[in-house]
Amino acid sequence: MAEEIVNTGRPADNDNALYGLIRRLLRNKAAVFGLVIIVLMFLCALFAPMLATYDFAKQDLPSMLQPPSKAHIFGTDEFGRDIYSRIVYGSRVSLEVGFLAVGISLLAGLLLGSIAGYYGRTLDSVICALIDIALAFPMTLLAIAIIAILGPGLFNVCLAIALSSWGSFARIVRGQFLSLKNQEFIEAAKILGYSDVRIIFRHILPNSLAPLVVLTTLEVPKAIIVEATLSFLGLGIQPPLPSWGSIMSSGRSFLFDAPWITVFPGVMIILVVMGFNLFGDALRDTLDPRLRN
Amino acid sequence: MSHLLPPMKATGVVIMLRYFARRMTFLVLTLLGMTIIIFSMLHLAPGDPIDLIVGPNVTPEVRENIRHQYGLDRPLVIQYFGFMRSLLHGDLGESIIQHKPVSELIAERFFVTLELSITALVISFLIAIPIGIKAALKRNTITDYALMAVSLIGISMPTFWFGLMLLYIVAFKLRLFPISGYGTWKHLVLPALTIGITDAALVARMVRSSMLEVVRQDYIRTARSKGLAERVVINRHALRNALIPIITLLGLRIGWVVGGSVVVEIVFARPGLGRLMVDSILARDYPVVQGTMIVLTTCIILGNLFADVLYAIVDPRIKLR
Repeated sequence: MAEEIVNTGRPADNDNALYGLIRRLLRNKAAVFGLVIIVLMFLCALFAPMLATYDFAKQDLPSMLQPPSKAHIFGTDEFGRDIYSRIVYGSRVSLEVGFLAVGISLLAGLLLGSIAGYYGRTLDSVICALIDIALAFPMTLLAIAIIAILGPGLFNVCLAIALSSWGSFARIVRGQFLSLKNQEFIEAAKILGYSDVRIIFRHILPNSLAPLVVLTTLEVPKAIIVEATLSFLGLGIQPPLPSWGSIMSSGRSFLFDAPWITVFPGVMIILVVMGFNLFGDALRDTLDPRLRN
Repeated sequence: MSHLLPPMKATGVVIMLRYFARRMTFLVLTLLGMTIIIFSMLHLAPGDPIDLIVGPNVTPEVRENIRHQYGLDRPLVIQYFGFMRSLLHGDLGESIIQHKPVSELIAERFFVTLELSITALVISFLIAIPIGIKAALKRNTITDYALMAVSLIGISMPTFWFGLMLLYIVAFKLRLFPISGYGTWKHLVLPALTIGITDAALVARMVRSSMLEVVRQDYIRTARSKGLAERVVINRHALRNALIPIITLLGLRIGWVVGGSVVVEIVFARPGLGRLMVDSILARDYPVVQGTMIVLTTCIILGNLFADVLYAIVDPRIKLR
């Protein structure tokens, strides 16, 4: 069968399988729906200046606290700023933080997971203990604690989220290393005299791609929610940069008079997070149903 | 032949005791590790630790005085031991802003957070378990899809946003419950529902998975082939086994629920530990931040321990390890 996957250890041999995978994925309605949402969000962030109807920082006090209308699709906030435009620009912040934080997390997890899995014994025990501690704590609480030390701001938020979520990545990478370490193609590479680094980068890591891609897709929405929470508490993105969380934070004081300030950013978060979750779940089911645990 | 079979009861007790001993050692190590990490945080912060305690507009002499007063001029290890000694005597330092002992501030608010966390956890499992089981039993039907769709929305919501929505609709528009504060059971309802419902969304999925796993097992097939009514099969065999891993779930969710109560306390203006912590972070009141973090993480660690022990008691298979 053209789609049979043979594990020769070389990713290139699996290209047929990749095409089949993508087709299967696109047949899944949930996956397509999720993917569409993700793409729309990217486009929104990319074309924000064109999609926004006003400058997100422009104050217009006479128009403050207006309900949704033709002029302001989502209404205005206490400074007269257009909520819709702020939400559009907020998508940039959420995506930036989401991917930067998860990116750092992925790198840290890759590094520590590889060391733990490949070299084993004491290094492994130490890193495992660190992973357990990192995973035992609720992400939000840990992120808040880290912001307490580092102070607020976009980069610190990314760092805080990364430090709370690297554990899952490390665990997966370590698991992959432990299971692949003893396979024949690795032994063959060692006998051929390949250096450790080469073995790690060209033989083990490419085979670990699938679970890592799934985890990344599922960690980005978590990062987005934690960033929104931190910004809501005043510990995250600082003004005037609009973050969906900080919009809701200022909207909170006017919740009873102007609920639209709080409702719309929340709905956006729900949509985006749902999109990533749906796509990530479908990806996981397609790539390896065994991963669902 | 009886000498080949050890008396089951005695062996069982010994194994349990050994398990407890191992768990206790692990607990002490974890708590120690946690104190080391939280203690180091003051020193990991960029800049001089003194800056976290006093403002920047202080003369050098006053800085040195404060530094000596807080013992920050001693070697780190000595500082840590001093820190631990005070900790074990219940002294968590003094708030810079309020000039009250940190332990007093925490004691005032501890029960508020405890009450919220426990109620939220109970609500969460009361909602999630029936829903998860129902979804599993009606797998791939409309009921399953509908329930899982609702749960997906639940996981995708920021907890604080859901709290704000409940606040607006239930407290403001419908005037069913108070808007904020603390005091009666009515003040507890909305905050607990906020955390409880969002947590239930995730727990329901896990219950569903667990139930699906169990129903696939051979012993269920045996029960069915014995001719037992489906209801009996489920109630007597499947449920019991599916609920065992749910208890470990309790342990996992405790951390999340405590984390959630931090934000919810702010939304509903409850005077709890979470709110104290966030206010102190914003006010740069470091001793309070450190104190609340220690208390919160200790509670989470103890909560996990409690769930682990519960699991060991409930699952007879663990005794065989």
